[in-house]
Amino acid sequence: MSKRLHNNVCEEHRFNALFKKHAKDLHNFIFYKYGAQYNPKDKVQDAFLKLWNNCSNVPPQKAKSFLFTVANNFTLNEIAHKKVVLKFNKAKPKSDTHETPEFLMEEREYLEKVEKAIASLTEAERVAFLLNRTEGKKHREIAEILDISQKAVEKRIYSALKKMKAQIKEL
Amino acid sequence: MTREQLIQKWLDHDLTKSEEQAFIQLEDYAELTKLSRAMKHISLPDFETELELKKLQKNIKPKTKLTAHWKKILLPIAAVLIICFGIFKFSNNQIKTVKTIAAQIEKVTLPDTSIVQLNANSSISYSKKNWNNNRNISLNGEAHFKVAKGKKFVVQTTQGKVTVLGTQFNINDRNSFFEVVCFEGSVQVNFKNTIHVLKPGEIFSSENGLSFDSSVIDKIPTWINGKSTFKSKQYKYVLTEFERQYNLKFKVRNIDTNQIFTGSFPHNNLEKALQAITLPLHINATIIDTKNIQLSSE
Repeated sequence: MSKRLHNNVCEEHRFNALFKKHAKDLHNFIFYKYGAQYNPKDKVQDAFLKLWNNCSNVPPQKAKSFLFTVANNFTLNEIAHKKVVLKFNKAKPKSDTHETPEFLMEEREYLEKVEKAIASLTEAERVAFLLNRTEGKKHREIAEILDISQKAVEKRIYSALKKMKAQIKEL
Repeated sequence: MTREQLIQKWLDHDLTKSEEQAFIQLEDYAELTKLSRAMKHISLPDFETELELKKLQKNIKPKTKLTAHWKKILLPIAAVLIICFGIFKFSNNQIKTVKTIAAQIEKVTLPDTSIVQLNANSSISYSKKNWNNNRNISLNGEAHFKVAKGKKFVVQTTQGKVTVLGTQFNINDRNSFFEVVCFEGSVQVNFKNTIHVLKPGEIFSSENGLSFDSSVIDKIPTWINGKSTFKSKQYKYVLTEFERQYNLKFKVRNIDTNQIFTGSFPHNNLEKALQAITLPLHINATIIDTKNIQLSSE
């Protein structure tokens, strides 16, 4: 009986718990993958709304992959084959050192290079690399989010790093 | 530990103190940390989980309200539609019923020119709609059918089902008595989970099962021509038929109503009819009034 009850995510508290657990990861995943221009927040809303509407058909253990697949598909539907551009913070990074204009200039140039280098990564590499570098997630956590092995995560991140280094040198 | 392993561990935020020292010594340490620092500045939009959840809940709740609202609107519409449909169905599916009272014989012509002769105190009902494709008729009492050729013709009675293709037959379904006589063609009788196929002259009755009477072949039952005929029938059935044809009641004294009777009585002459059913069995008939007759053995 209890098994039957827990076989879907229709109960509100269960659904809310799912949201708290996965919403942010889902949002960042879509952001890293496609950038901000496709409104990752809306994709999160849409995906969870769809989960709610299909709650009786989705067992809890399938909910995460359901959400990621749905959000991904929603975004793909919207994409008009634009290249992903991840913008850096306009705000100047806090620094307590006195910087010469020269240094600031260099810094700006460097950030531009990084931006371009990121665009050269494959989608899989970019998502894993950003989850790792920007969010500071460990390999194990990334593997969980992407539903791939830890080894695959390591490979993606390492190859991304190598590519980034090479690209930055070239530019 | 190799350079690559160190970088891997660094990427996994998993360097121990001593490993960190080794990592710092790497030639590309500065480059790596510079890149890493830059990566931190990618503007990740703020995602306030609680806020987003509230937004979502707003979208979920009105949805249920909306359906309730729609239900309120749709329910009466659905109800009206169902009623309209019911009226339409009913008027289209008009059930036609023909009933006879005591001492009345009625001839009914069905839409396909099949003819049903209804004996006294009987009724048939059938659906006029789509009759030619669905020849289903229910019978209560006794009737003779002259079925026009066509699709399967089914007569449903309380005791059994009779199926034919095109033929003449008589069904008598009275209380516990059930009898089918085939005059022409062939008739299938379903009775208490058994199936009998009657050929002309064959009679199926609930009492005797299958029997044969060559005299009925290509004839019609005598009751249609104003005469009830009985061949080896229990006397009680003769009496009830008599009651129906003359619309009266018998009071029976000291008579074995299970005895077998063969003979007939006319429908238009009470005196002759009474003689016909009483004289052969040495029964006295006393007319009490127009509705009651007493029978007693001599």
